Amino acid sequence: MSAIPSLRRSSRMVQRNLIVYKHTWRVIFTGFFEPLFYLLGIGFGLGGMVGDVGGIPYSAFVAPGLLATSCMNGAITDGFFNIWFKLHHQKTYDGILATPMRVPDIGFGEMLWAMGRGSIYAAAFISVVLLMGETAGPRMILSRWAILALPGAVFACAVFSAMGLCATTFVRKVHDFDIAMGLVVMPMFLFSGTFFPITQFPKPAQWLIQVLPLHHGVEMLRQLTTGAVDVGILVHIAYLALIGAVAFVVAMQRMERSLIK
Amino acid sequence: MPSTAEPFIRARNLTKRFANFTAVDSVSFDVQPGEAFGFLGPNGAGKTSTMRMIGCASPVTEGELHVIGMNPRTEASRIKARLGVVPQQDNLDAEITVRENLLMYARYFDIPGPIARRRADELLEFVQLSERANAEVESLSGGMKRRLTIARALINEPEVILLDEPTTGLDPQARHVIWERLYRLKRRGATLLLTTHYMDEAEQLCDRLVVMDKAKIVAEGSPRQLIEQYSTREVLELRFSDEVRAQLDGRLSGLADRIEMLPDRTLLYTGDGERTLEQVHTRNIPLESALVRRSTLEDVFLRLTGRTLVE
Repeated sequence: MSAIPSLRRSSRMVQRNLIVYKHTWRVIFTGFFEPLFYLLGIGFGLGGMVGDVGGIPYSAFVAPGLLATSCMNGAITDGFFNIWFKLHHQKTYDGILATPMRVPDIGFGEMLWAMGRGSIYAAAFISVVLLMGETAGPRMILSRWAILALPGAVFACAVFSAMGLCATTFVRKVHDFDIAMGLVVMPMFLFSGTFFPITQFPKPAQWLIQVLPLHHGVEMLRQLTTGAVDVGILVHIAYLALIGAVAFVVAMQRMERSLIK
Repeated sequence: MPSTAEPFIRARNLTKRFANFTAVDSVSFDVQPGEAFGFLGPNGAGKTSTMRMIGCASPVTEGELHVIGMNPRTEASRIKARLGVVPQQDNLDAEITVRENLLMYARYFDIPGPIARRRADELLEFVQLSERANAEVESLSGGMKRRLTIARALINEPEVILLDEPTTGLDPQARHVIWERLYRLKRRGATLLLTTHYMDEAEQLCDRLVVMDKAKIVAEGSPRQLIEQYSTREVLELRFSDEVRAQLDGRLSGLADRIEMLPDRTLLYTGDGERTLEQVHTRNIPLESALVRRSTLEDVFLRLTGRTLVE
């Protein structure tokens, strides 16, 4: 009996999370620095030895990958870990559900929050990448299409946040997080084409990688920042939208069942 | 309590089943506006499940339930807008401060900011937490958390307040503070529904109550009615040494309306405790101690279920 979320009620969750962040605002910087550190360490450090990839500087290749990865990591911190604790330990949602708020309002609200937070990180990261490229070089934003990388990143945040929400409903013990991080998130992070083109792998492995949502997030954003846009981007977007929608619906049904019982 | 007013809460054959057991088995009751209505029973009797169904936190399996004239199945949000809920387990928002808990809760009810701030301050005053307004929730004692949970439940000026074991786990002092606040709410005309396994709590606060045991309602009435109906006016509590106790057989017979042998004491139900005690003395039964007291709901419960209320 999952209802359609109300935007007004969902926005209450954003308000609530803003109050929490008022107390722990330092945490907000981790989401900004993480992709930046990767960029400095791998994009420049390693990139200096690698040279060009597919005709573009390595740092320009890796930057959009890191942008997509930071969307995923934000969703894991907020949507996967934090929500699990609110759901099972702090019982925060039980308290909220004694008001006119409904489960889909909470779920959608958490997703709105992830999008809002992600958009700030993405805007900051894109600005820094642009600035560094213009001043220190090599350039990493190669096309005006990059303007669309911001909404693209926000979209990716929404999709990953829905996936995080969905995944968290399957977690029974804290121990399950280790399994998910080690066996799902880690390989996705390494093999999705973030750091090197997936053509490095044999064909069957490539097919497998094409199932991973992060791969589509990386490719979508890479097309936009490098300007190598083709119709394939629509496939990436459609795939992400489908995964996100299914994850959200499943997440809401499972949350409803565990909260209203 | 006969009343012509539409009951605030109306349950008919209300049933809650989980996968492998029945938590609430076809219970029926009415709660009138302004009434303080209690569910008394041991753990696992079905009190919490009943409360959760009324609070729209648990779907009704079978039967009929109306809360303020509405159906929880289809109008949960509208019902919840007019309820105040104090759950058994505090579920305060641990990541924000005491006052923010109230302000944020007000937002969930769409209460505008200025009104929310005024009410939050009044309620903090009411539950004596004004000095802790900016404290972390985690720094509060159990009693303070409970009071904050009560304040939070009042932020929307609810017509019905659901209290699930409001004082379980609190020390006597903290319990009295909460009883006193609840009593004030009652005098202001609030409708209170509370579950408890403390008979003194039920006697102090409830106009009317139902005794629940094993998912069913086993008796209903005002505390006084229940005592009159199921118990005697007074109770003589006797304690014997183990040797005396082992050889009691029949020596107490005829002294009281009913005799209840508990592991630690023997209860004699009688109209006049002192007179019964004299008779025990004339029969030369050696006692370790004797106590005459008035009947309580505990005795009612014992009579109805053969078991004591708390553990």
